[in-house]
Amino acid sequence: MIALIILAFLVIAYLDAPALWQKKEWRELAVMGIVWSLGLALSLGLAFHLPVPSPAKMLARFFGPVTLWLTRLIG
Amino acid sequence: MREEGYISPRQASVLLWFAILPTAILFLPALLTLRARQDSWLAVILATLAAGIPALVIYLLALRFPHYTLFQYCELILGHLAGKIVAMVFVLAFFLLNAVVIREFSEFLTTAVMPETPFLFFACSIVAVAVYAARNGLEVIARCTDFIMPLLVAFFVVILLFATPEMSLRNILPFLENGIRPVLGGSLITWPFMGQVIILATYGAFVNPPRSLGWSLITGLLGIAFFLGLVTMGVILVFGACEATSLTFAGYNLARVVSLGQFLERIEVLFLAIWVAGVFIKIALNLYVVALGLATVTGLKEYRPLVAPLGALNVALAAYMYRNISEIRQDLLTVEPGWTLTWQFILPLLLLLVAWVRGQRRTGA
Repeated sequence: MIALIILAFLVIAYLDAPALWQKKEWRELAVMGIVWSLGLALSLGLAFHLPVPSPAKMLARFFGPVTLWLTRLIG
Repeated sequence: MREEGYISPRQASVLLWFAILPTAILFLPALLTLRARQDSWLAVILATLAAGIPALVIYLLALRFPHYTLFQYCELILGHLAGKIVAMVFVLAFFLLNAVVIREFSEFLTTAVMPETPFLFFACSIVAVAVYAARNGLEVIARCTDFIMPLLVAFFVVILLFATPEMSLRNILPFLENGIRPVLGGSLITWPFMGQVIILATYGAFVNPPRSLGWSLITGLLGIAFFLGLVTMGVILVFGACEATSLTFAGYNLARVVSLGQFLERIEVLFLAIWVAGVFIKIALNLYVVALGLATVTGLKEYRPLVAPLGALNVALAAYMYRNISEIRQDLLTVEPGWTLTWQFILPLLLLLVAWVRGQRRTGA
Protein backbone atom coordinates (compact mmCIF):
# COMPACT_ATOMS: atom_id res chain seq x y z
CA MET A 1 0.00 0.00 0.00
CA ILE A 2 2.71 2.47 1.04
CA ALA A 3 4.90 1.50 -1.90
CA LEU A 4 1.90 1.96 -4.23
CA ILE A 5 1.20 5.44 -2.86
CA ILE A 6 4.81 6.53 -3.24
CA LEU A 7 4.93 5.09 -6.76
CA ALA A 8 1.73 6.93 -7.73
CA PHE A 9 3.05 10.24 -6.41
CA LEU A 10 6.37 9.75 -8.19
CA VAL A 11 4.47 9.23 -11.46
CA ILE A 12 2.46 12.42 -10.79
CA ALA A 13 5.65 14.37 -10.14
CA TYR A 14 7.28 12.91 -13.24
CA LEU A 15 4.37 14.12 -15.44
CA ASP A 16 5.12 17.82 -15.08
CA ALA A 17 8.00 18.58 -12.74
CA PRO A 18 10.95 17.87 -15.11
CA ALA A 19 9.51 20.12 -17.82
CA LEU A 20 8.88 22.91 -15.29
CA TRP A 21 12.41 22.52 -13.96
CA GLN A 22 13.90 22.89 -17.42
CA LYS A 23 11.78 25.94 -18.20
CA LYS A 24 12.77 27.41 -14.80
CA GLU A 25 9.12 28.00 -13.83
CA TRP A 26 9.90 28.20 -10.10
CA ARG A 27 6.51 29.62 -9.12
CA GLU A 28 4.65 26.79 -10.84
CA LEU A 29 7.04 24.29 -9.31
CA ALA A 30 6.51 25.71 -5.81
CA VAL A 31 2.68 25.65 -5.95
CA MET A 32 2.70 22.19 -7.48
CA GLY A 33 5.17 21.04 -4.83
CA ILE A 34 2.95 22.28 -2.01
CA VAL A 35 -0.16 20.53 -3.38
CA TRP A 36 1.88 17.42 -4.14
CA SER A 37 3.40 17.15 -0.65
CA LEU A 38 0.03 17.81 0.98
CA GLY A 39 -1.45 14.98 -1.08
CA LEU A 40 1.45 12.66 -0.25
CA ALA A 41 1.22 13.47 3.47
CA LEU A 42 -2.55 12.87 3.57
CA SER A 43 -2.28 9.64 1.58
CA LEU A 44 0.46 8.29 3.84
CA GLY A 45 -1.67 9.32 6.81
CA LEU A 46 -4.43 7.21 5.29
CA ALA A 47 -2.09 4.22 4.96
CA PHE A 48 -0.86 4.57 8.55
CA HIS A 49 -4.40 5.23 9.87
CA LEU A 50 -3.48 8.60 11.35
CA PRO A 51 -6.40 10.46 12.97
CA VAL A 52 -6.69 13.34 10.52
CA PRO A 53 -9.78 15.47 11.24
CA SER A 54 -12.45 15.37 8.54
CA PRO A 55 -13.08 18.68 6.76
CA ALA A 56 -16.76 17.74 6.62
CA LYS A 57 -16.82 17.73 10.44
CA MET A 58 -15.35 21.23 10.54
CA LEU A 59 -17.99 22.48 8.11
CA ALA A 60 -20.68 20.74 10.12
CA ARG A 61 -19.64 22.51 13.34
CA PHE A 62 -20.43 25.90 11.84
CA PHE A 63 -22.91 25.29 9.03
CA GLY A 64 -24.94 22.62 10.85
CA PRO A 65 -26.57 25.26 13.12
CA VAL A 66 -27.00 27.59 10.11
CA THR A 67 -28.86 24.86 8.20
CA LEU A 68 -30.96 24.04 11.26
CA TRP A 69 -31.93 27.70 11.59
CA LEU A 70 -32.78 27.95 7.89
CA THR A 71 -34.86 24.76 8.06
CA ARG A 72 -36.83 26.11 11.03
CA LEU A 73 -37.26 29.43 9.24
CA ILE A 74 -38.72 28.18 5.97
CA GLY A 75 -39.22 24.41 6.11
CA MET B 1 -4.61 33.23 -16.09
CA ARG B 2 -6.15 32.73 -19.51
CA GLU B 3 -6.93 29.56 -21.28
CA GLU B 4 -6.70 29.37 -25.04
CA GLY B 5 -9.87 27.46 -25.90
CA TYR B 6 -13.43 28.67 -26.43
CA ILE B 7 -16.66 26.74 -26.10
CA SER B 8 -20.03 27.37 -27.68
CA PRO B 9 -23.04 28.51 -25.61
CA ARG B 10 -24.69 25.14 -26.24
CA GLN B 11 -21.69 23.26 -24.88
CA ALA B 12 -21.69 25.54 -21.83
CA SER B 13 -25.28 24.72 -21.02
CA VAL B 14 -24.76 20.97 -21.52
CA LEU B 15 -21.70 21.14 -19.26
CA LEU B 16 -23.95 22.76 -16.69
CA TRP B 17 -26.30 19.77 -16.90
CA PHE B 18 -23.37 17.49 -16.25
CA ALA B 19 -22.19 19.66 -13.37
CA ILE B 20 -25.46 19.04 -11.53
CA LEU B 21 -27.46 16.08 -12.83
CA PRO B 22 -25.28 12.96 -12.36
CA THR B 23 -25.13 12.98 -8.56
CA ALA B 24 -28.48 14.73 -8.17
CA ILE B 25 -30.56 12.03 -9.92
CA LEU B 26 -28.98 9.41 -7.70
CA PHE B 27 -29.04 11.00 -4.25
CA LEU B 28 -31.62 13.75 -4.35
CA PRO B 29 -35.05 12.06 -4.81
CA ALA B 30 -34.76 9.93 -1.67
CA LEU B 31 -33.61 12.87 0.46
CA LEU B 32 -36.28 15.10 -1.03
CA THR B 33 -39.15 12.77 -0.25
CA LEU B 34 -38.02 12.80 3.39
CA ARG B 35 -39.04 16.45 3.56
CA ALA B 36 -41.50 17.19 0.79
CA ARG B 37 -43.19 13.76 0.46
CA GLN B 38 -45.26 13.50 -2.73
CA ASP B 39 -44.72 17.17 -3.61
CA SER B 40 -40.97 16.69 -4.15
CA TRP B 41 -41.19 17.53 -7.84
CA LEU B 42 -42.59 20.92 -6.83
CA ALA B 43 -39.56 21.47 -4.58
CA VAL B 44 -37.29 20.86 -7.58
CA ILE B 45 -39.11 23.56 -9.53
CA LEU B 46 -38.94 25.98 -6.60
CA ALA B 47 -35.21 25.34 -6.18
CA THR B 48 -34.72 25.99 -9.89
CA LEU B 49 -36.49 29.32 -9.55
CA ALA B 50 -34.25 30.11 -6.57
CA ALA B 51 -31.18 29.12 -8.62
CA GLY B 52 -32.33 31.70 -11.15
CA ILE B 53 -31.06 34.41 -8.77
CA PRO B 54 -27.39 33.31 -8.74
CA ALA B 55 -27.77 32.63 -12.48
CA LEU B 56 -28.82 36.26 -12.98
CA VAL B 57 -25.92 37.39 -10.76
CA ILE B 58 -23.48 35.36 -12.87
CA TYR B 59 -24.91 36.85 -16.05
CA LEU B 60 -24.68 40.44 -14.77
CA LEU B 61 -21.13 39.86 -13.54
CA ALA B 62 -20.21 38.33 -16.91
CA LEU B 63 -21.56 41.42 -18.67
CA ARG B 64 -19.44 43.64 -16.41
CA PHE B 65 -16.32 41.51 -16.82
CA PRO B 66 -16.54 39.71 -20.17
CA HIS B 67 -13.89 37.01 -20.67
CA TYR B 68 -12.86 37.13 -17.01
CA THR B 69 -13.31 34.09 -14.77
CA LEU B 70 -14.87 34.24 -11.32
CA PHE B 71 -11.41 34.02 -9.75
CA GLN B 72 -10.14 36.93 -11.83
CA TYR B 73 -12.97 39.35 -11.20
CA CYS B 74 -12.91 38.60 -7.47
CA GLU B 75 -9.59 40.40 -7.47
CA LEU B 76 -10.78 43.15 -9.83
CA ILE B 77 -13.81 43.86 -7.64
CA LEU B 78 -12.42 43.52 -4.11
CA GLY B 79 -8.84 44.61 -4.60
CA HIS B 80 -5.64 42.64 -4.32
CA LEU B 81 -5.72 41.06 -0.86
CA ALA B 82 -9.45 40.64 -0.16
CA GLY B 83 -9.96 39.48 -3.75
CA LYS B 84 -7.34 36.77 -3.38
CA ILE B 85 -8.89 35.59 -0.12
CA VAL B 86 -12.41 35.38 -1.58
CA ALA B 87 -11.10 33.66 -4.72
CA MET B 88 -9.30 31.15 -2.49
CA VAL B 89 -12.57 30.49 -0.63
CA PHE B 90 -14.18 29.66 -3.98
CA VAL B 91 -11.26 27.39 -4.92
CA LEU B 92 -11.49 25.54 -1.60
CA ALA B 93 -15.27 25.25 -1.91
CA PHE B 94 -15.03 23.72 -5.39
CA PHE B 95 -12.28 21.45 -4.11
CA LEU B 96 -14.39 20.20 -1.19
CA LEU B 97 -17.35 19.79 -3.53
CA ASN B 98 -15.23 17.63 -5.80
CA ALA B 99 -14.10 15.51 -2.85
CA VAL B 100 -17.76 14.95 -1.93
CA VAL B 101 -18.60 13.98 -5.52
CA ILE B 102 -15.69 11.52 -5.68
CA ARG B 103 -16.81 9.97 -2.41
CA GLU B 104 -20.46 9.81 -3.52
CA PHE B 105 -19.41 8.09 -6.74
CA SER B 106 -17.25 5.47 -5.08
CA GLU B 107 -19.66 4.86 -2.20
CA PHE B 108 -22.47 4.23 -4.68
CA LEU B 109 -20.42 1.65 -6.55
CA THR B 110 -19.27 -0.11 -3.38
CA THR B 111 -22.70 -0.05 -1.77
CA ALA B 112 -24.90 -0.95 -4.71
CA VAL B 113 -22.77 -2.87 -7.19
CA MET B 114 -19.43 -4.20 -5.99
CA PRO B 115 -19.50 -4.52 -2.20
CA GLU B 116 -16.17 -6.38 -1.93
CA THR B 117 -14.08 -3.73 -3.69
CA PRO B 118 -12.56 -0.96 -1.54
CA PHE B 119 -13.93 2.46 -2.47
CA LEU B 120 -10.41 3.85 -2.98
CA PHE B 121 -10.08 1.75 -6.09
CA PHE B 122 -13.07 3.44 -7.73
CA ALA B 123 -11.99 6.88 -6.50
CA CYS B 124 -8.45 6.48 -7.89
CA SER B 125 -9.57 5.16 -11.26
CA ILE B 126 -12.20 7.84 -11.96
CA VAL B 127 -9.87 10.64 -10.83
CA ALA B 128 -7.06 9.29 -13.01
CA VAL B 129 -9.33 9.51 -16.06
CA ALA B 130 -10.66 12.90 -14.98
CA VAL B 131 -7.12 14.24 -14.54
CA TYR B 132 -6.34 13.15 -18.07
CA ALA B 133 -9.42 14.98 -19.39
CA ALA B 134 -8.85 18.11 -17.31
CA ARG B 135 -5.22 18.38 -18.43
CA ASN B 136 -6.44 18.53 -22.01
CA GLY B 137 -8.50 21.61 -21.29
CA LEU B 138 -12.08 22.76 -21.31
CA GLU B 139 -12.68 22.22 -25.02
CA VAL B 140 -11.94 18.53 -24.68
CA ILE B 141 -14.28 18.13 -21.70
CA ALA B 142 -16.96 19.98 -23.66
CA ARG B 143 -16.50 17.67 -26.64
CA CYS B 144 -16.82 14.63 -24.37
CA THR B 145 -20.26 15.90 -23.41
CA ASP B 146 -21.26 16.03 -27.08
CA PHE B 147 -20.86 12.29 -27.07
CA ILE B 148 -22.29 11.48 -23.64
CA MET B 149 -25.25 13.89 -23.63
CA PRO B 150 -27.36 12.02 -26.24
CA LEU B 151 -26.72 8.80 -24.31
CA LEU B 152 -27.85 10.46 -21.10
CA VAL B 153 -31.02 11.86 -22.66
CA ALA B 154 -31.82 8.54 -24.36
CA PHE B 155 -31.33 6.80 -21.05
CA PHE B 156 -33.73 9.15 -19.25
CA VAL B 157 -36.33 8.58 -21.96
CA VAL B 158 -35.90 4.77 -21.97
CA ILE B 159 -36.11 4.40 -18.21
CA LEU B 160 -39.04 6.74 -17.69
CA LEU B 161 -40.95 5.32 -20.66
CA PHE B 162 -40.43 1.69 -19.73
CA ALA B 163 -41.19 2.30 -16.07
CA THR B 164 -44.63 3.67 -16.88
CA PRO B 165 -46.39 0.28 -16.38
CA GLU B 166 -45.24 0.40 -12.75
CA MET B 167 -46.44 3.94 -12.18
CA SER B 168 -49.58 4.86 -10.34
CA LEU B 169 -50.92 8.38 -10.54
CA ARG B 170 -52.42 8.09 -7.07
CA ASN B 171 -48.93 8.27 -5.59
CA ILE B 172 -48.52 12.01 -6.17
CA LEU B 173 -51.89 12.83 -4.61
CA PRO B 174 -52.90 14.55 -2.36
CA PHE B 175 -51.31 17.68 -3.75
CA LEU B 176 -49.80 20.02 -1.10
CA GLU B 177 -51.17 17.89 1.73
CA ASN B 178 -49.31 19.74 4.49
CA GLY B 179 -49.19 23.17 2.89
CA ILE B 180 -46.23 24.89 1.26
CA ARG B 181 -43.71 24.65 4.12
CA PRO B 182 -42.54 21.04 3.50
CA VAL B 183 -42.03 21.98 -0.15
CA LEU B 184 -39.88 24.95 0.89
CA GLY B 185 -37.91 22.64 3.18
CA GLY B 186 -37.47 20.29 0.23
CA SER B 187 -36.14 23.05 -1.98
CA LEU B 188 -33.58 23.79 0.74
CA ILE B 189 -32.38 20.18 0.35
CA THR B 190 -32.30 20.61 -3.45
CA TRP B 191 -30.16 23.73 -3.18
CA PRO B 192 -26.74 22.04 -2.65
CA PHE B 193 -27.21 20.49 -6.09
CA MET B 194 -28.95 23.36 -7.87
CA GLY B 195 -26.58 26.00 -6.49
CA GLN B 196 -23.74 24.47 -8.46
CA VAL B 197 -24.83 26.65 -11.40
CA ILE B 198 -22.18 28.96 -9.91
CA ILE B 199 -19.62 26.82 -11.75
CA LEU B 200 -20.70 28.61 -14.93
CA ALA B 201 -19.14 31.80 -13.50
CA THR B 202 -15.74 30.14 -13.91
CA TYR B 203 -15.82 28.42 -17.30
CA GLY B 204 -18.42 30.89 -18.59
CA ALA B 205 -15.49 33.19 -19.32
CA PHE B 206 -14.57 30.92 -22.23
CA VAL B 207 -18.01 31.07 -23.84
CA ASN B 208 -18.01 33.03 -27.04
CA PRO B 209 -19.73 35.49 -27.41
CA PRO B 210 -20.04 36.46 -23.69
CA ARG B 211 -23.56 37.85 -24.16
CA SER B 212 -24.93 34.41 -25.02
CA LEU B 213 -24.11 33.26 -21.49
CA GLY B 214 -27.68 34.22 -20.61
CA TRP B 215 -28.96 31.67 -23.10
CA SER B 216 -26.62 29.01 -21.68
CA LEU B 217 -27.81 29.71 -18.15
CA ILE B 218 -31.51 29.57 -19.03
CA THR B 219 -31.34 26.41 -21.14
CA GLY B 220 -28.97 24.84 -18.62
CA LEU B 221 -31.27 25.46 -15.70
CA LEU B 222 -34.41 24.50 -17.60
CA GLY B 223 -32.83 21.23 -18.75
CA ILE B 224 -31.75 20.39 -15.22
CA ALA B 225 -35.17 21.21 -13.79
CA PHE B 226 -36.82 19.13 -16.52
CA PHE B 227 -34.74 15.99 -16.07
CA LEU B 228 -34.43 16.21 -12.31
CA GLY B 229 -38.16 16.92 -11.98
CA LEU B 230 -39.01 13.98 -14.26
CA VAL B 231 -36.77 11.55 -12.37
CA THR B 232 -38.12 12.72 -9.01
CA MET B 233 -41.66 12.43 -10.29
CA GLY B 234 -40.91 8.99 -11.74
CA VAL B 235 -39.53 7.81 -8.42
CA ILE B 236 -42.62 9.05 -6.55
CA LEU B 237 -45.01 7.62 -9.15
CA VAL B 238 -43.36 4.20 -9.09
CA PHE B 239 -42.50 3.79 -5.41
CA GLY B 240 -44.76 6.24 -3.63
CA ALA B 241 -43.46 8.86 -1.21
CA CYS B 242 -43.23 6.48 1.74
CA GLU B 243 -41.14 3.82 0.07
CA ALA B 244 -39.02 6.38 -1.79
CA THR B 245 -37.62 7.74 1.50
CA SER B 246 -36.02 4.38 2.24
CA LEU B 247 -34.25 4.12 -1.13
CA THR B 248 -30.67 5.33 -0.95
CA PHE B 249 -30.11 5.47 -4.72
CA ALA B 250 -33.48 6.39 -6.16
CA GLY B 251 -32.45 6.77 -9.82
CA TYR B 252 -30.74 3.38 -9.76
CA ASN B 253 -33.77 1.73 -8.19
CA LEU B 254 -35.98 3.30 -10.83
CA ALA B 255 -33.86 1.61 -13.51
CA ARG B 256 -34.13 -1.69 -11.67
CA VAL B 257 -37.92 -1.86 -11.77
CA VAL B 258 -37.96 -1.72 -15.58
CA SER B 259 -39.03 -5.09 -16.87
CA LEU B 260 -40.68 -5.39 -20.25
CA GLY B 261 -42.26 -8.68 -21.30
CA GLN B 262 -39.50 -10.98 -19.99
CA PHE B 263 -36.88 -9.80 -22.49
CA LEU B 264 -35.95 -6.23 -21.54
CA GLU B 265 -34.68 -6.58 -18.00
CA ARG B 266 -31.82 -5.49 -15.77
CA ILE B 267 -31.20 -2.27 -17.64
CA GLU B 268 -29.61 -0.84 -14.49
CA VAL B 269 -26.33 -1.90 -16.09
CA LEU B 270 -27.05 0.69 -18.77
CA PHE B 271 -27.73 3.16 -15.99
CA LEU B 272 -24.33 2.38 -14.47
CA ALA B 273 -22.41 2.85 -17.71
CA ILE B 274 -24.01 6.18 -18.54
CA TRP B 275 -23.98 7.42 -14.98
CA VAL B 276 -20.26 6.70 -14.60
CA ALA B 277 -19.65 8.66 -17.80
CA GLY B 278 -21.70 11.56 -16.41
CA VAL B 279 -19.85 11.62 -13.10
CA PHE B 280 -16.57 11.48 -14.99
CA ILE B 281 -17.52 14.76 -16.74
CA LYS B 282 -18.56 16.30 -13.44
CA ILE B 283 -15.31 15.39 -11.69
CA ALA B 284 -13.17 16.44 -14.67
CA LEU B 285 -14.95 19.80 -14.85
CA ASN B 286 -14.59 20.43 -11.12
CA LEU B 287 -10.93 19.44 -11.23
CA TYR B 288 -10.35 21.78 -14.15
CA VAL B 289 -12.07 24.64 -12.32
CA VAL B 290 -10.08 24.04 -9.12
CA ALA B 291 -6.76 23.90 -10.99
CA LEU B 292 -7.64 27.03 -12.99
CA GLY B 293 -8.68 28.84 -9.80
CA LEU B 294 -5.57 27.88 -7.88
CA ALA B 295 -3.39 28.92 -10.82
CA THR B 296 -5.21 32.28 -10.98
CA VAL B 297 -4.92 32.96 -7.26
CA THR B 298 -1.23 32.10 -7.10
CA GLY B 299 -0.51 33.94 -10.33
CA LEU B 300 0.71 31.06 -12.49
CA LYS B 301 0.87 30.99 -16.28
CA GLU B 302 -0.25 27.36 -16.57
CA TYR B 303 -2.90 25.40 -14.71
CA ARG B 304 -1.87 22.02 -16.16
CA PRO B 305 0.90 21.05 -13.73
CA LEU B 306 -1.57 21.47 -10.86
CA VAL B 307 -4.23 19.07 -12.16
CA ALA B 308 -2.59 15.74 -11.28
CA PRO B 309 -1.42 16.67 -7.73
CA LEU B 310 -4.82 18.25 -7.05
CA GLY B 311 -6.53 15.05 -8.19
CA ALA B 312 -4.37 12.97 -5.85
CA LEU B 313 -5.02 15.33 -2.95
CA ASN B 314 -8.71 15.18 -3.76
CA VAL B 315 -8.81 11.39 -3.48
CA ALA B 316 -7.03 11.50 -0.12
CA LEU B 317 -9.41 14.19 1.10
CA ALA B 318 -12.43 12.23 -0.14
CA ALA B 319 -11.24 9.34 2.01
CA TYR B 320 -11.10 11.53 5.11
CA MET B 321 -14.39 13.37 4.50
CA TYR B 322 -16.89 10.70 5.54
CA ARG B 323 -16.88 7.26 7.06
CA ASN B 324 -19.77 5.81 5.06
CA ILE B 325 -22.73 6.52 2.81
CA SER B 326 -25.10 7.46 5.64
CA GLU B 327 -22.72 10.20 6.77
CA ILE B 328 -22.89 11.65 3.26
CA ARG B 329 -26.68 11.57 3.32
CA GLN B 330 -26.73 13.12 6.79
CA ASP B 331 -24.37 15.84 5.59
CA LEU B 332 -26.49 16.56 2.51
CA LEU B 333 -29.52 17.01 4.77
CA THR B 334 -28.10 18.94 7.71
CA VAL B 335 -24.91 20.75 6.66
CA GLU B 336 -24.68 21.26 2.92
CA PRO B 337 -27.74 23.56 2.52
CA GLY B 338 -26.27 26.20 4.85
CA TRP B 339 -22.75 25.89 3.48
CA THR B 340 -23.73 25.96 -0.18
CA LEU B 341 -26.17 28.85 0.30
CA THR B 342 -23.26 30.80 1.76
CA TRP B 343 -20.76 30.31 -1.03
CA GLN B 344 -23.03 29.77 -4.01
CA PHE B 345 -25.69 32.36 -3.24
CA ILE B 346 -24.59 35.04 -0.77
CA LEU B 347 -20.95 35.37 -1.84
CA PRO B 348 -21.65 35.98 -5.58
CA LEU B 349 -24.48 38.35 -4.65
CA LEU B 350 -22.08 40.35 -2.46
CA LEU B 351 -19.55 40.41 -5.29
CA LEU B 352 -22.14 41.87 -7.65
CA LEU B 353 -23.27 44.43 -5.05
CA VAL B 354 -19.71 45.62 -4.42
CA ALA B 355 -19.00 45.80 -8.16
CA TRP B 356 -22.21 47.77 -8.64
CA VAL B 357 -21.53 50.19 -5.76
CA ARG B 358 -17.94 50.81 -6.83
CA GLY B 359 -19.04 51.01 -10.44
CA GLN B 360 -16.42 48.59 -11.72
CA ARG B 361 -16.52 47.09 -15.17
CA ARG B 362 -14.06 45.87 -17.77
CA THR B 363 -16.09 46.13 -20.93
CA GLY B 364 -13.63 48.32 -22.81
CA ALA B 365 -10.86 45.75 -23.10
